[in-house]
Amino acid sequence: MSEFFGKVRTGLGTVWRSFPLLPLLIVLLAVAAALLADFIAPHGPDELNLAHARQGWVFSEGGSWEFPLGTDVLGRDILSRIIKGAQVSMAVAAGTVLLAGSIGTTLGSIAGYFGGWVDTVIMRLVDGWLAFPAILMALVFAVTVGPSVTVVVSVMALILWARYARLVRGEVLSLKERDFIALARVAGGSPLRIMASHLLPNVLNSVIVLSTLQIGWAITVEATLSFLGAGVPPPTPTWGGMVAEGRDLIRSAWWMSVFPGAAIGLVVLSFNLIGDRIRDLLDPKLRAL
Amino acid sequence: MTRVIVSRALQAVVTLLGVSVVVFALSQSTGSPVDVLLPVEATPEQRMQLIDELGLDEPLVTQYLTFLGNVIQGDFGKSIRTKLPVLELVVDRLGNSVLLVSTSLLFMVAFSLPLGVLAAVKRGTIIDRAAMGLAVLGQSLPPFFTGVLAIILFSVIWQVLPAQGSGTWQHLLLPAATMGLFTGAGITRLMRSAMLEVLDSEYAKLARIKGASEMRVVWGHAFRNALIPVVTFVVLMYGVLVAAAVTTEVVFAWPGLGRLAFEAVVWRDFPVLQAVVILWAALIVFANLLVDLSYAIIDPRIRHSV
Repeated sequence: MSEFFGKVRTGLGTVWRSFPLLPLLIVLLAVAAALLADFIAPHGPDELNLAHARQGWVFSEGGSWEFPLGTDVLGRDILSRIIKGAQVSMAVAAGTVLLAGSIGTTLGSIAGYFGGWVDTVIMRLVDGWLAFPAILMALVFAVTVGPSVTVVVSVMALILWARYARLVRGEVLSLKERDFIALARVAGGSPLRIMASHLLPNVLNSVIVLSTLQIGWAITVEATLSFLGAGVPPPTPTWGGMVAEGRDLIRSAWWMSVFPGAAIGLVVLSFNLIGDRIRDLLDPKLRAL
Repeated sequence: MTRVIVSRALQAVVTLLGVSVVVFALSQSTGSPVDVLLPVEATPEQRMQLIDELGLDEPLVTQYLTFLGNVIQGDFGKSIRTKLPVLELVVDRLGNSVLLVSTSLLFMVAFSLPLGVLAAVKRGTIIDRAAMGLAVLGQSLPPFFTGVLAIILFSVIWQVLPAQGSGTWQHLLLPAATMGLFTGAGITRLMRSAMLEVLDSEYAKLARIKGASEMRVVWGHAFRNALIPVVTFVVLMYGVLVAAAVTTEVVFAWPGLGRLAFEAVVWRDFPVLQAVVILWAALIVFANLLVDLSYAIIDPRIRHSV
């Protein structure tokens, strides 16, 4: 027992020493921006300043600290829109991972625990699903159902659940052979009870690792959908949508698309670095994810 | 063997049927095609006649079967915007997409695989760290943003490559590299970890003990075995590849299927979008089928597991 705790302590020590601090800071900053957007943004995200339209960032000719990252064609402050845009990115990413994680974990547990034809059906579905060009399906949904936060989260969760299902099923398959599950069954535990109170706590670790690794993916996909005009519709500012708005003006107003793009890159990079680190620490066997 | 082929082929057909059902179901929610096809001042008689012609008064199952039959015969209807047969539009763009995707795959094979091997062989050195840093960066920047950066650098500032369009090899370079960076980054990481595992294996050790040069151990023994998970990953990555192709084509105005899908979204041109989705799904399912079958031929364990 003391050996176990010793291990944990060194574990935590290593986490603390080698944890990527800069990425952590960037992620905290993005989360804070999302939560406090309305209080910390210097301008309203939709506030028009036509007199200052297409003003460059602060260090360019004609730039000013009033609009540190410049303005777009309508004179809206890029910095404020990036801060407000963090809301959509974070909310969609969190919602997607939660929803997909719940669906995937449930179906994966069922497939692994019951086996047989239930397993076959679910896993065939998973295989078919993973091969599917999800982004195109998202476009179809956007055109037919119409884009909104709910649609974007549902479509993305629909894409992502299969990865959770495959991971959880694999873990459950090996767990259910273990003595404590057999004991629980002998003691008369119902399948639901065994899955909820014996299997779930044991797969949670892997689910958390997969989730941290998928948040970056979710932010990228959300940005991609917004870039293609199939994400959360304007006037709500989104990072991907801002890159798209500035795309035709990169010769004359590069800041319009470069800064929001950089926001996406930095935040996704940070989440990926943190996710990698957490995986290596908690669950090195998942390295192939 | 025959059993494996039949079972995989059946699975592919079921997947495609699933796609067609979803697309058909969604097409029902776009509103009646009669409203799209007829002018507002059309008489109720004209409407009834068109409904009869299109078979819109038939039960849904019959309508679906008609739709499926048309699709199988290559009849995807007419584009709402251009009034041209959808199949013509799609075939027109298909070649460009295939060209872009295969060039980016070439880029991947030429850079990502050697880089992954190098990182594994030089484990822990500055080369390893630089390669992994580049890979994480490549994975984190979405192609539409790297595309914008590439245009700013190469077309606006240095003015060495065209920003948009197609036709010459110069036009192909930036989009293919943009796509290759994103998709190749994952390959580099996976190649590295697969190589590390194989280099540490018993047979790699045995090869060294027998006096094989490190060069021979790496390329002759380890590389080929490390390639198996990488190939699997590339296949699983088709979805990512498609997504990257769509955004890359949009950024560089590359006239491929992805750009066609994007235009269809902008113009709410559902028949076109539907055709692109079904066609792309069919390509992916077919490629998966081929890979599955080739595995079954190579690896006897898989041959008997189905």
